[in-house]
Amino acid sequence: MPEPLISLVGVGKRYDGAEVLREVSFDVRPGEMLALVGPSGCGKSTLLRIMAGLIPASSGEVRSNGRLLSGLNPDTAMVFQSFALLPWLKAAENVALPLEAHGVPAPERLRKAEHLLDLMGLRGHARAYPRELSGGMRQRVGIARALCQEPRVLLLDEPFSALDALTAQTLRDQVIDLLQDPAVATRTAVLVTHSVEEAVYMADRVVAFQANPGRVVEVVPIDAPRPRRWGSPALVPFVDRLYGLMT
Amino acid sequence: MSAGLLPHAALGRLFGLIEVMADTPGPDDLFRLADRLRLQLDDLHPLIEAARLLGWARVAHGDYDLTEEGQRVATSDVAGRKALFRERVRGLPIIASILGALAGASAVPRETIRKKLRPRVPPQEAERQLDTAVNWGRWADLFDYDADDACFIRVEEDREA
Repeated sequence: MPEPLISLVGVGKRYDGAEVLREVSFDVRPGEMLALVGPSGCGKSTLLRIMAGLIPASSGEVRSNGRLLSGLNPDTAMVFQSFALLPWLKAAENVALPLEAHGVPAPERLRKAEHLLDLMGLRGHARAYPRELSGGMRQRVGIARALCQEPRVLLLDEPFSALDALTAQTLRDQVIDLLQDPAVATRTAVLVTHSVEEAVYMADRVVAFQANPGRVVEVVPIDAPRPRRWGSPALVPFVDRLYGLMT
Repeated sequence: MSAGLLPHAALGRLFGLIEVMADTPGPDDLFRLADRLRLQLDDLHPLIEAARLLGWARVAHGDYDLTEEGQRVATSDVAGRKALFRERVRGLPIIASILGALAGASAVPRETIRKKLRPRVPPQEAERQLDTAVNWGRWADLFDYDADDACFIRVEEDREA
């Protein structure tokens, strides 16, 4: 088995004495879509931020690409439920912004940003402000911004939750396709979702959590063939199994 | 819907709808579709109207069905969808009027197009028409828009990949 990209060993998190996560251990393997699913309050979004190095673990160990993580994780980039675009910047400028922090020169920043927007189907919207974009388009800009940094692991925090069902469906498929696309450097993703159906539809493996405190119940491989169809009978046994584990 | 006006459909939702329609082949009932998508008919209406206007769906007596081109849209990737969308959209009256104005100038003020709508479209709806035209035209790579200067911008045909 190849080296894991991110490895969690006995990770715990406490806020003001309250235990949010207890003894969480699993690996993120290269090339996989790993979903973290569980009821609200199970700490799955907190865990994603620990993997990103945005907040420290209280106990246990996080390794990224073999190195013990301290501070921001340069191997990851995050997509947020709320899109988190800067309203005064145009789409291409939003996408290019993290590259500026990485010291990439301006012409290359813009070239990369436009390339990523093109892959998201938004070439024509490069000069649009976020307010001119629909919710689905805003999230496509958010995804382009994350992929532009060429992270080894893309971290997706409830990326489809703020979108209506029709918009979410096409975007899920687009994310799956992008991670296979030779024009995209990133192959691996961790998806946080409260939707068991979404986890089963998208993931290669699903980490099922219970709450109070958040802990891993089981890691379930989803060995259903791709491409998958939403609501297909082949996915039902996995959905049932996960609901059973979490309740 | 008055003749020649654009339905206010977000394109991500429209393509989602086409995919869902392709999942259930043959004519089906619109109410059942709305129910399955947990959408009000009022929310579904602009999407259906857009699918019809683009020649991708037929609607009659409360039933809908995808056309052959609609089926093709459902199975195409983003680039394929863009190509089909572009050909359909460039002929729609408001889009054609923007393209016509841009044939003679590299930038055309929003006000110019607004004036053309004014005699027959109420002011608030005219603004929505312009916003939707901007969105569709951008997605089709037919023209760009500068929100700071409020004008449509010509894009060169060779931008087409």
